[in-house]
Amino acid sequence: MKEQVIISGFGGQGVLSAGFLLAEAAMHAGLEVTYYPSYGAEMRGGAANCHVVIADQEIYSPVISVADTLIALSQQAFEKFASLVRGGGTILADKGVKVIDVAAEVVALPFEEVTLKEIGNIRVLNTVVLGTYAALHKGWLKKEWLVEALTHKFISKGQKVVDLNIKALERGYTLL
Amino acid sequence: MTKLLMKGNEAMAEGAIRAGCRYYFGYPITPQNEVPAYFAKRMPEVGGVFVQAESETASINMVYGAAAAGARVMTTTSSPGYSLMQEGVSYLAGARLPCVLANVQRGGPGLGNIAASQADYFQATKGGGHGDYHVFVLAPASAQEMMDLTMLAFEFSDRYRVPALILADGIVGQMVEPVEVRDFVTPQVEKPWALTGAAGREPNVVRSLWLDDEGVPRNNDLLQATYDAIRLQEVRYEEFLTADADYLIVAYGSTGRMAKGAVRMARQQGLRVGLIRPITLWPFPYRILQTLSAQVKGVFVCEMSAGQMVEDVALAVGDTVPIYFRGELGGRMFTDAKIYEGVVSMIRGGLQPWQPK
Repeated sequence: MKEQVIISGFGGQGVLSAGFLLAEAAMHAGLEVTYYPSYGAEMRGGAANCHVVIADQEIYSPVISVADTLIALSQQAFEKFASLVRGGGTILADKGVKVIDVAAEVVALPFEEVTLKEIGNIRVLNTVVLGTYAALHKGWLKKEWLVEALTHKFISKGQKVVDLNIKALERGYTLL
Repeated sequence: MTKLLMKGNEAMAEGAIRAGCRYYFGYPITPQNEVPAYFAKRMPEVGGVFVQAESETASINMVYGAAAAGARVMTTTSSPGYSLMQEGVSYLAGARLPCVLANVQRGGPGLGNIAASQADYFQATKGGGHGDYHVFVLAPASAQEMMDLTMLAFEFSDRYRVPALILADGIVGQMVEPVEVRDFVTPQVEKPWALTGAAGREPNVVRSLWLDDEGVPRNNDLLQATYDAIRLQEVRYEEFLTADADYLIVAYGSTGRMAKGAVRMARQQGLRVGLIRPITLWPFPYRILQTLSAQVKGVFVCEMSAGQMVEDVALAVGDTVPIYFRGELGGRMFTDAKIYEGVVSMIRGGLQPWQPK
C-alpha cells in the first residue's frame, strides 16, 4: 500500500501536529513514513501544510506531486491543494469550506461545529479530523495506533488531556 | 533497534553529539534553525558548549579556535551564511584544522528564499574561499544520512586534518523520517599538533601564514598529497540498478532520492534505467561514472541548479556518451514524476545533449 496525504489549514489548527501524529502511529505499526512540513509561515492565522507519505516499501519522494487524500481545514487550503488530488482520491474538508468542482471526491463534514459543540474545545479539531480519516482508511490504518500515539504524546500533560483527545478521535471516527 | 521519528536537521545535530562534538557555534537562518535549537537544548545535557554567535563570521572563527585546541566542533548555516564564512573556511583548510560544517542550502543568489536548492555546489566543491584547497563535501539524502554522514564527517576530518562540509538542502533538513539512532563513539584520532598548553613540550603552532620562501609552497604540497590520498580512498556513492542499465541518472541529495523513484517508474515501463547518487561530492565519484559511460546510451543529470554537478559528470564521461541535463531553479524542486518525464524524453530523442557553455 501507499498513501500520500496532504494536511492543510490555518496555522494554529494543528495540521502539522496531526500529520506528525499520523506518521508516528504508522511508523510504530511497522510502516515506512515520511513527513515534510511547510516551514515558512506556520504562525497562527498563516497557511500551514504538511505532506505525509505512508507505504509498506521504501519511500523516495517526501514531497507529494499527486495526492491520494487532502485534508483541507480552510478555504485557502482547499483552493491551493485540491487540484493536486488524483481522480478517485478523497478531499476531507470542513463543511464551511466552499467547494469547487474537482476530480476527487469531496467529503465535507461539520468538523468545527462538532468539535466546538460536542467536545467543547476547538484545540482538538485536528484529532476529530484524524478520527474521520482513520474511519476512511480502515484497510491499513487501525484506530488503536492513533490512540497509542495520542497517549504517548499527551501523557506528560495529564490523563485529562489524553482522554479529551481520545474522545475527539472517537467522535471523528463515527462522524461519517 | 527502535527508530525515532526525527527531522533531518535534528538527526544531524544528534549525530554530531554522538560523534563526540561538544562545541557548537552558530547563527540562526532558515531552513536549518532546528540545528542550533537542538544543540541549545542538548549541549547542557552532555556537558557541551553552545554559543549563539553574533554572526556567521564570528561562528566560523569560534570554530577555528576550538578546532585549534583539538576539540570536535561544528557550525551549521544556510547559503548566505556559508558565503559569509568563506574566509574562515580557507583559513581552517590552510591551517589543517579538523571541523564539521553544514550548509542546508536555500534558494539564491543573494538572500534568495527559504526553499530547497542545490545551487551552492560550485562553492562547496570548487573552493568557496581563496587558495588551492578542498573540504570533504558529503551530501545526505535522508534523515538517517543526516546523522550517519555527520558522524562520518568527524572521522574523515580528524583523520586527514581537512574540514568536512555536510551539503544538505531544505528538503533533507526539514523532512522527518524514522531514524535509527547510532551509539556514542569515542574519538580515537590523536591530535599531537593541537594547542593544549606547552608545559613540558615544545610549543605547537597553528597557522596559515608563512613569510619565508618555503612555508606556503611546502604547506600546499602537503595539502595536495592529502587530497590525493582522500581521492583514492574516500569516494562514496550509492549505485541503484546499474548492472543492466541502458541509461543512467546522476543526482544527489534530495534530488537523488526523487531520482530513485523515477528509476522505479522507468523499470515498471520496462526501461532499463539506473542511478548513481554521489554521496561524497568532493571527492567526486569520477571513476564509476567513467566505467558506466562505456555501458549506457545516455546520462541524465538533474539538480536544483542551472547546471553545476553536471560539469563534474562531463569531466568523468568525456565524449563517450551524450549527457542530458534538467535543472530546477531558485527553490523549485523536482518530483519523481518530473525526472521520469525527463528520462523518457531523453530516451525518445526529445532532448538536446548538454554542452559546455
